[in-house]
Amino acid sequence: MLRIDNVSVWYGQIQALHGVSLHVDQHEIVTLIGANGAGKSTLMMSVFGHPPVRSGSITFEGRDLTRVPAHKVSSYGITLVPEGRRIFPQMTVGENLLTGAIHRRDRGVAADMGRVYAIFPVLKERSMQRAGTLSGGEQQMLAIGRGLMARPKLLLLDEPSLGLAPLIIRQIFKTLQKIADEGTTIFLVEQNANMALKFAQRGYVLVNGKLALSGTNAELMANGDVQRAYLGGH
Amino acid sequence: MLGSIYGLIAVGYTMVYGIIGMVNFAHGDIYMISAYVTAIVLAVCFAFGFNAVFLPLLIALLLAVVITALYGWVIERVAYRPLRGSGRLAPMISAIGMSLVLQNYVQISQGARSQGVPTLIDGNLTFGRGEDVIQISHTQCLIIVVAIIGMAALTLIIAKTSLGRACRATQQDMTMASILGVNVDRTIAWVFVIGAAMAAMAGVLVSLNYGTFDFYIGFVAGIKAFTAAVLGGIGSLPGAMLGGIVLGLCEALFSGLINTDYKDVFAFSILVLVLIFKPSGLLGKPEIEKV
Repeated sequence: MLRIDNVSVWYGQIQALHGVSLHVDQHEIVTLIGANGAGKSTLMMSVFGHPPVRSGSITFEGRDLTRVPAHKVSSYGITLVPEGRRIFPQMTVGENLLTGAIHRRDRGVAADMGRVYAIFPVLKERSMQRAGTLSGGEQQMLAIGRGLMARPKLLLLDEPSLGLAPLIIRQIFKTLQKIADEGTTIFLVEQNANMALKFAQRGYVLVNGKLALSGTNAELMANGDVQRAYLGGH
Repeated sequence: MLGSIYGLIAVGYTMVYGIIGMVNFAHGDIYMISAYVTAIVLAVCFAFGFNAVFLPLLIALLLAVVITALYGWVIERVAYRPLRGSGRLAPMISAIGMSLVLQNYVQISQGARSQGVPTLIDGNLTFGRGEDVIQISHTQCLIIVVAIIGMAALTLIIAKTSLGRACRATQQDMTMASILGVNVDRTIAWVFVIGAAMAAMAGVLVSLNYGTFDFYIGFVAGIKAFTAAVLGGIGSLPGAMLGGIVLGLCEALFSGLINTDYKDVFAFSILVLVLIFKPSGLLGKPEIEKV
C-alpha cells in the first residue's frame, strides 16, 4: 500500500534520512520505533513533502507521491496525526474536525462527525469549545478524530502517547485497535516501543536516520539490542 | 463614516498579515483603482443615457469589486507568491514596488489631473431642531449601510464557510493545513481577492462621497487603514473593523474640536502611541515566540 524506497531527506546541509526503505500493506498495523531525533517524524512528514524527498521514492497504491503537493496527498487517502497534535487552537473542536474533511466533496461528512463523536464522547461535549482549552489527552483525541474525518485508507500516527498519562495512553490505544479492526491501515511512530510493539504486527527500528532492524513484533521484542535500547531490559 | 471606510480597507491588511505575515503596501492602491473603475463605469453609463441612480451605482459596485479582486489576485500571483518563504524584507520591497507600479500606471493611463464623479444622491437626514441640528447626507447613510453589509458578509464567510475554515487553519498552522488537504496557495489567493473586494467597496463609496480623487489617494488611505489595523490588533478581523471606526471617530473629533490641518498628524500619532504602549492593539493577542 505505502512503499518507501531508498528515501533520503535533507534539512539544509544536514542529512536526516539515509536511504530508508520500508513498506506497509493493506490492513496491517506497522510501527517504526527509534530514539528521539532518529528521523521518525521526518519520515512521516516527508510523505507530504515537508521536507521534500531528495532522492528515492514514496508511492501509495502505486502512485508516486514525491512530486505531489501536500494537499493532494490527503485526497489519495493518507492522513497524518502529527507529533505534538498540531490542532488549531483558536478554532472550536467541531471546526477542527471539519478541517480534517476539508478536501472531501461527498455527503458523508456529517455522518463521519457523528462516528468520531461516538468514538470520543468527550469531544461531543466540548464541540463548541476552543480546541486550545482542551487537556492534552483530549487534544490527542481531537487530532485522531480530525484524522478520521478524512476517512483515510492509511492513518499515519506520530507519537500519540507523547506527554500523556498511562491511563489515557491505554484508552487511546484501545481506540486505535478499534479503528484498525474497522479496516483502516495504521502506520505508527513511537518512542514508547513497549506499547508500540504490543500493538503492531510488524516493526522497523530507525537509528540515526538509517533503518537498523525490521521484523515481526515477536522477533523485535525477542531481539537483545531492541530490549536493551528501547524496552528497558538488561 | 470615515471610520467604516478605514475599516473596509483595514480588513484587507489584517487578513493578509494574519495569513502570510506580510504588510501588503499595494493594498491602498487597490482602493484607488476601485475609485477609478467607479468613475469610468458611471461615465459610460451616463454616456449611454442611464440616468437612474441605483442601477449605474449597482453596476459600478459590482464591476469595481470584480475588477479590483482580479487585481488583487494578479498582484499576489506576480509579486508575492514567488517570494514566499524568502524572509520578510523581500515581499515588503516587492509590495512597495507594486504600489508604485499601480500609481504610475493609473497616472499614465488616466492622466495626472484629479477625476470626478457627479453627485448622485442628494439630500440629508436631519436630526434635532433649532440651532442644534445634526445633518447626515444620504450618501453617508449609504456608506455606512454598505460597509456594515460588507463586513457582516465577510464575518459570515470567515466564520461559517469551508473557505473561512481553510483561511483560519492556514493562518494558525500552514504546514498542518496543507497536510489535511487545504490548498494553501489557493487559500492565500482568495484572501487577496476578498481583501481587494472589501477595499473596492471602500473605493466606490469614497468616490461617491467626495466626488474627486486622484491616483495618489491610495497612499494616504492605505497608511490610515494600516494604522486602523494596527490599532485594532493586526491579524484580528474584528480588531480591524473596530480600529477603523475608532480611528475615523478620533480623526473626526480632532478636526471638529481642535484643528483640521493637524488631523493626519493626530492619526499617525495614534499609530506611534499604539506601537509603543500596546503593540498587540485593542483586540490582538500578544505574539508569543514558539520555541
